[in-house]
Amino acid sequence: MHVTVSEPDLAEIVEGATSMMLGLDLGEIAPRDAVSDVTPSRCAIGASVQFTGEWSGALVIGCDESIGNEAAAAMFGCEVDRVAADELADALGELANMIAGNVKPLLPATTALSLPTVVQGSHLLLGIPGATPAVGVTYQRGASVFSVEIYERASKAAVIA
Amino acid sequence: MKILIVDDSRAMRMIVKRHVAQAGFEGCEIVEAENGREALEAIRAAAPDVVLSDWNMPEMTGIELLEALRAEGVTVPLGFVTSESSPDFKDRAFDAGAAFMITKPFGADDFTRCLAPFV
Repeated sequence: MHVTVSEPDLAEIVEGATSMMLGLDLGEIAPRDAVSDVTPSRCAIGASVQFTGEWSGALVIGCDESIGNEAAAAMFGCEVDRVAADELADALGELANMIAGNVKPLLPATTALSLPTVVQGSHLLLGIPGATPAVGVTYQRGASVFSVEIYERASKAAVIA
Repeated sequence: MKILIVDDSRAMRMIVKRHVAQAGFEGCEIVEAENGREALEAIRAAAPDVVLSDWNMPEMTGIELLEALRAEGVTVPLGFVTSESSPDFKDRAFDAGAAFMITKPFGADDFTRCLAPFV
C-alpha cells in the first residue's frame, strides 16, 4: 500500500488548518526543486506526528521562526514578538496534529496517530529514519518557508531492521 | 453554564475558549484540564455542564476519559474536539456515549450548533 494523498489534497488540508482557523498567510506554494536547498537553511522549528498501524509513516512540518511565531501568536491571541519558546513548540505541535488528523482518513489502513514531537534549533534538516518522502508542499512568503511532508515507511520489517 | 475544556495543548485550549465565546457563550465559566486524568478530577470537583475533550492526550485519552465517566455512572455530556475524523473513531466515540464531535479545523458555528442543546 502506498500513499494516495495528492499534493492538492495536502495543500487543501494545510491551508484549511492555517488560513481558515488561524488566519495565517503562508504565501505561495513553491516548486519542489526550487526549495529543496533553501528549506533546511531556514528551518528553525520542526514538528512530527507518526502514523502507526497497517500502514506507517509520519507527517513532518518545518518552518522558520517568523512563520512559527505568527502561528503561535494566532493560537495564543498575543503579539508575534511576545511568543515564548514553549508556546512556539506547543503551537507547531498542535498544527502538526491537526494536519495529520485530517490527512489520516486519506491514508490506507492507518490506525493511530502519535502525540506530536517538536524540535527547535537552526538549519534543521528534518527526516524520518527508515522512511522516504512521499508527498509534500512547501510555501514561501518572502524569506519565510513552511513545509509539510508525508513520509512513508517501506514496511514494518524495514523499520525493525 | 460551566464548560470543561480538556486538551494537552494550551494553544488549543485557548483557541477553543475563543471559539466558545465567539459562538455566543461568552458568559460561560471555563474550567481547563490537560488530560483525561486531570479531567476526571476536575469533573468531580467542578461538576461542569458540558465537557469538550481532545482525543489524543498523554496520561489518559479522551475516549478513555469518556469510558471511565460512563463506568462511574457520570452522565455529563462530553463532546470531542479533535483532529481524529475517521469514521471508525466517530463510531467508537458515539458508541461510548459522546454527545457530538467537532473536527479540527473548526469554526465558531460548530460550537454554536453543538453546545446549543445544553444551554
